[in-house]
Amino acid sequence: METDGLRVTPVKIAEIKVSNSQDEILVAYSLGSCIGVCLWDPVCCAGGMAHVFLPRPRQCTYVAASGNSEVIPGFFHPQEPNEQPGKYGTTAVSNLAHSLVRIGCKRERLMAAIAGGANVIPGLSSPFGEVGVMNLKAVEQALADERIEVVGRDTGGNYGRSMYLYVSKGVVRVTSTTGPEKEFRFKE
Amino acid sequence: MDTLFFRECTKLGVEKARSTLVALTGMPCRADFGNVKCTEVDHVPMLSGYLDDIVLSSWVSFTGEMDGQIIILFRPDSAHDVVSSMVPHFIEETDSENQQELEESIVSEIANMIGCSLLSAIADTAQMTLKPSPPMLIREMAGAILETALATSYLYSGEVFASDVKFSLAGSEAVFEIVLLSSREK
Amino acid sequence: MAKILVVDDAMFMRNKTSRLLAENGYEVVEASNGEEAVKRYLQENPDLVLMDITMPVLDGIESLKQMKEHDPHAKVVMVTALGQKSMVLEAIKAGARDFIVKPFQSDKLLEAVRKQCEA
Repeated sequence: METDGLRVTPVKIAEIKVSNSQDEILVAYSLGSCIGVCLWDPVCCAGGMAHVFLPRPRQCTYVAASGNSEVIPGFFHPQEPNEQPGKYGTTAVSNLAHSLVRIGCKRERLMAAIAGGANVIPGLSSPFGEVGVMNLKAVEQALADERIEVVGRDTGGNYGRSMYLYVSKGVVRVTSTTGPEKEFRFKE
Repeated sequence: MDTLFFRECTKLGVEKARSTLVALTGMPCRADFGNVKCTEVDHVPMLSGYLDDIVLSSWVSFTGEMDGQIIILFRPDSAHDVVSSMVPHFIEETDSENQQELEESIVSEIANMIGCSLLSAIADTAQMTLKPSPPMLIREMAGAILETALATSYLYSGEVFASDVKFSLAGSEAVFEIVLLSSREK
Repeated sequence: MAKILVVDDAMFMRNKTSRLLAENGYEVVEASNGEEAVKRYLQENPDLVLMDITMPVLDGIESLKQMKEHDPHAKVVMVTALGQKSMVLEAIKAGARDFIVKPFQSDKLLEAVRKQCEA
């Protein structure tokens, strides 16, 4: 992956990074079930990336008189203030958009590219389903709620990916273990 | 099962795994016991250092009084070194087309023995029965494997014990890592 | 010459054990999981079974139980990486004659095999 002498800034799990630099690449390495979400503003050539880890905060549990804990369907813990802003699919997109607005972007101009949400461990699943699939659903719903158009996606499957955002150019490159390398341009 | 007890059990398990490795390879071996946490962790310390390097990984799930996963990660050249120390004439005695398959089988079995030593010491100390699945060998980006395992653990049980141990073999560059994820007692 | 059924899902372990036994004059047949092991037992009628525990399809302890149902005199020695006390107890209760934890010394395995075949 050529970096053309540009500065490479990793976006680690649960992090959000934004940039309006001329010479920066944001990268989410080694996406398995995690989702890398890029948002980009074509007018100010600034963008950001979130590295989403889980779909949503834990469902509410309560301890019954018997001592067993039970899940209350539909009730979710809110995100704790000390938790990283990119951790959950339900909140990462709005947190990322908000951070971009703070550096001068306009929400209505933002476009998205997403990558990841794979299951690289065949046969691994929870009683709630595969976490990659759940992450993808949460992120896509959040993008729809924010009315942000998704111009590129490389998701699902059973292989790992790394996602690179060339900030000033508005180009996203996705490399993968066994799949093809993909490129998305936010503007032609 | 609290964090302190889990740490003690895991330490004993690591020692057992280390002596298994010594028995297998006939070489001294070091184990560096990294982090043990029990909480929802925001930072996942074991993922640092790999970026998107491809590793050969053995994945095992276990069930019993606690549920969890044991993931053993080898960089490809380390896997080769460990195999060579266990089966010194491996290269000469195998024809090239079967070599990868046989090497993977050996790695799988080494990982099985080490993982079971670790698990057995924890089970016996905590007086539990923890039954592992047969190991699955995966060739993939290290971070992708670990984050998928960790995220699934959280979905499943909310709170996760995580421990991370690096093993190194004397006289070679071979280094590998064992990550153990476990729910609190059910 | 005694016939031994070697059951292990790892190709490497089957090869290694079979070679060791053949070099010491035993006839060897193999199976790669517990279900196949039961079938081979009924086909081949071996004098002794060396059984791994952690295997796909059917694990070693379940396989042992099924063999004992067909043949209460079946001689089975567990050879496994899984050395938990509760597992050892479960195997012995199900009728295993001995329990060897991997990695094992070759002479220890041969000694255990000799003991069972002479009994």
